[in-house]
Amino acid sequence: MSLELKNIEKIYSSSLENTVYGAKDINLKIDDQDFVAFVGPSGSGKTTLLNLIAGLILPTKGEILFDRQAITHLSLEERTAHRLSHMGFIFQDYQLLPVLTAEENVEFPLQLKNMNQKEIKERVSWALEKVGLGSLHNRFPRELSGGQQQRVSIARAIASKPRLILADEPTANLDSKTAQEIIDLFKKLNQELGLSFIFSTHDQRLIDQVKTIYYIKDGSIHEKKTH
Amino acid sequence: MRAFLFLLKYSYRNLWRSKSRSLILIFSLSFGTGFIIWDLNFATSGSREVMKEFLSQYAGFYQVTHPDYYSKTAKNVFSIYKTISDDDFKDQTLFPLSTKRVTSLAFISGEKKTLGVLLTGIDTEKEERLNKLKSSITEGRYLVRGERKEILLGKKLAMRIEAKVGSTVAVVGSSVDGSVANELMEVVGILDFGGGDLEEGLAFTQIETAQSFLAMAPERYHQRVSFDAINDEPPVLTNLSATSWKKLLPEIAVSVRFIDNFTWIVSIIMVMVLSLGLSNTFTITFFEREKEFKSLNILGASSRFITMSLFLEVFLLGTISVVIGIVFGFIATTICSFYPINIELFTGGKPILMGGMVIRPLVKFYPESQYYWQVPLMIYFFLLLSLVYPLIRLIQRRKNVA
Amino acid sequence: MDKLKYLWHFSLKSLKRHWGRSLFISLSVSLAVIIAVWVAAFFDGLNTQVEESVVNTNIGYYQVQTPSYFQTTDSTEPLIWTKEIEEELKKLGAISYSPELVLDSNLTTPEGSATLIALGVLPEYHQKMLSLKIQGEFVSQSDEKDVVIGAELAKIFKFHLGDEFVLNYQDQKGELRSELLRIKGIYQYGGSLFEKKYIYLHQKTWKSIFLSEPSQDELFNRIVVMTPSLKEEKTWRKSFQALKLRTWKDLNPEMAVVLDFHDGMINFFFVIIGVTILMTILTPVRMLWEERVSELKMMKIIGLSKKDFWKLGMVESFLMMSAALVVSSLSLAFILGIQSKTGIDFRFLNDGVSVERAGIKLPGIIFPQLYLKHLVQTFCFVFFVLGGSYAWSLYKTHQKIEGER
Repeated sequence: MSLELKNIEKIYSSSLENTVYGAKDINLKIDDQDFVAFVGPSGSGKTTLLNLIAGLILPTKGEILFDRQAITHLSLEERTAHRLSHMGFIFQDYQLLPVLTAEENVEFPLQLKNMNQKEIKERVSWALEKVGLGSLHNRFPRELSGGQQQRVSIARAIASKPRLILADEPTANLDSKTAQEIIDLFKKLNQELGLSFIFSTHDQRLIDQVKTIYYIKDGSIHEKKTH
Repeated sequence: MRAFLFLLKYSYRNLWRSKSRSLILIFSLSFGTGFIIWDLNFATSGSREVMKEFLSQYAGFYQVTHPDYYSKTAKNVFSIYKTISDDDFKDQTLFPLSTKRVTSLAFISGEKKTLGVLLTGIDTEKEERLNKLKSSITEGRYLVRGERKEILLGKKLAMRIEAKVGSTVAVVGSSVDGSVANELMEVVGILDFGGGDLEEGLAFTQIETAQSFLAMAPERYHQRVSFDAINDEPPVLTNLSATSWKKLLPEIAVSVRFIDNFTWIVSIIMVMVLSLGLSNTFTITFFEREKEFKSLNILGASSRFITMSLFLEVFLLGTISVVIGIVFGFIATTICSFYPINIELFTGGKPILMGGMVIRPLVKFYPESQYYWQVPLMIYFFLLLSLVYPLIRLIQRRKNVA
Repeated sequence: MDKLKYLWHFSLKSLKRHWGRSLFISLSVSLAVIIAVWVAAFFDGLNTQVEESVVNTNIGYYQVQTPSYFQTTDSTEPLIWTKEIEEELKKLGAISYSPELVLDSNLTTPEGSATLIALGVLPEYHQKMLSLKIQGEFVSQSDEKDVVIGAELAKIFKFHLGDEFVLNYQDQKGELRSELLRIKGIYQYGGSLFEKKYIYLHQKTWKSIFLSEPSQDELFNRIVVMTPSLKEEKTWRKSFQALKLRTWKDLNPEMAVVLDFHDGMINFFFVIIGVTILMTILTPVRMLWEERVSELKMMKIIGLSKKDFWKLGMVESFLMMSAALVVSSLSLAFILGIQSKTGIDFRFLNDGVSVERAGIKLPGIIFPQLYLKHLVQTFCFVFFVLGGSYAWSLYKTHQKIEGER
């Protein structure tokens, strides 16, 4: 898997006095099994970057290449399909569907991909086992703790065997013990499954664990550090 | 198929996210459906029952006459010279439930006044069996068969010419041979039609008396009036004319049609109003879940998937409501088929007059099967319409965000 | 007062926050109200026109009748038409009136027979009350044995101006008489049944053919009176005890029941629409409040009392009601303002043909009428629906804030 951002610029609004940049002069490359974090204060542009990579928004200038294919030229529906096929997502507030059980939440992207029922079942079991929630598959999100909900969210993200996982502040709503467990889980998945991870985070524990850190300030990459 | 089933499951569960909200929606839609089914049955049954009741009093469902009996140009004008007989009927199957009548305009004189009436000669026994004329007699007695020169007068008519049971009145008219017909007749009974105009304009005698009065042969008559409530459409006859009550009493037919149309209009308005409220509710519900839709989109759900899930949710809501509504409507209609409704409720208890007579206001329901599919179809249509605005707003907002 | 002002601003902002939704709810209620009140206005227009059709066929809003005429429509004992009676009628608000003598009669010709009502009238009164379109001339004091007949009667019997026919009747003594009358005029009015039934004689002519002894006095069996409406019926009934009063509803009960039936249908319709719109608006209004529970809880913590909470809600509901009222009232005024002039062609219900019922030709084009009562109905409707939904939603929301649910 390779992800390249070339000369990316995103302008949100422009007037004579002021131009608001969501991203400016962004050039970066993410390879297979990368474990990367975007770090910066609130409003620095981390989420914008994640949205650009996910194809949720388009850059004003520049190109985003995924496996050498430009996703910036794809239509809205094509980008959605692309996301479904190649990426997994983990959210700060888990974003589980309240009307579905843990198992059904994990199954959701697989159903969207129209996979056959046997394969879906296998994948779901596998994913829930991977995150250590095999026995809680029939519970609804309201019946799970924060940490358990986040694990379900992770299981959902990995179930479709994506190439890249995008995680926006995944440990922000967790206590420190649970947050550490989740971070360990990320590392395990990165090593065992060869998944690439991009985090947007303030959590120093997570920052300490990543290989590459991009410090974002005012929409630009201010500094890059590698561990 | 699997994906569709998953979608169905997801949509069904979304429907019950807020139980109270969904229950109120289902209740309103079911109430609407059930009420409309009941109301339409009420209008149809009401019209049918009222007409049956009215027509079976005296007027009949259709009349068979000579083709030139009724004037083609002037309403209520007929010719006493155009008579028929039983031999004119090729097919006599309608005879058991029909009766012969001789009719003529005549003048009845009392002590002080001479008034014009429609004098009708009736087959006394047949009329007694087929209609409710005899039961309208409140003073005196019914006619006895034969040429007995007896007459029944409407109550208002009797009052105006100051005649009562036992009085003798002079009846004057034109006979079929062109001579002046006149006869003295004894008033044997007074008819009460509840105070309507018919009481002023009707008088009845035996058919034999009328035939003699008009110098008609005993086998000749003017009308064969059918009281067959089941086969109430006039037959097609080659040498005779069969005229439905709808043509003979067009003003009554219009009133009936008006009530039917009004009921449909009320139903459509009701559903429109329901769909406005539903549209509001859907809009708010969709906006509440906007964040979730965004997440779904991030996860890879296309706009089509999200829209389909909303459609399905609404469709399920509609289906549950319609099914319950049909049951409500069926139960309510069935109850009313055993316990008739008194339509004097609409007039504040005042008697209802139609065609010059008071009608029995009790309406028994006869359920019409077509309403059990027409009404749900209408509900689904408006349900679909109610989705238009919320979906447009949702798509607009998503486009703005993108 | 400052607090109330603040609540006012706050409510306005709350509505503006979701202005689309608030507007939509308000508009939904307005639309339902417009439909309901329009239907009521339509039926009121229809009823008014039906009433006009009835009263304008020589029935009048009221008829003051002699006792014998009242009992049996007996014409043999007419009374004298006096200035006192005329003054009394004017005092009671009569617009116009016509003292009439009524004779049940008939004609018989080779073309057929017809029952006729021969009205002996005084043209100076009658023509003010009923404007007939006349070919030829109307009756006058100089008439000898002249008569004015209806166009329908003329058509059936092939009569023309100047023709003569024999009128048959029983005179005051009850004896059968016949009188040759000359057709002086042919009128058109009020539908075929009316034109077939009524013929006009000058009172002088009428008296000469009917009364046993001549009379110089102006007489009447009945006085047909036109007023603006039947509103003052109680007063009229009190005034006429020796002479008898009948309203048009007494005289044409079938059409009276038609009006009652329409009123009944409208009341029924209002209830149904009211209940329907209440049920459907209840949920969105409740949702508008439910989504604010956490901020209201926070406000409660800060110090929002139960009273203030209700005040907030009522102010907001007042704003919504005002919006709905303004939209409904203006729309109704506009729509009904136009339609009360152009009318709506009602004849599609009868394949394009006007209908006669109970001897009256019904209007084919209906002019809905906007009365003050419709605006009152609008207000009550909006108040009931929006006010009711708001009250219930506030109650439920307050329960949630207090943690009772």
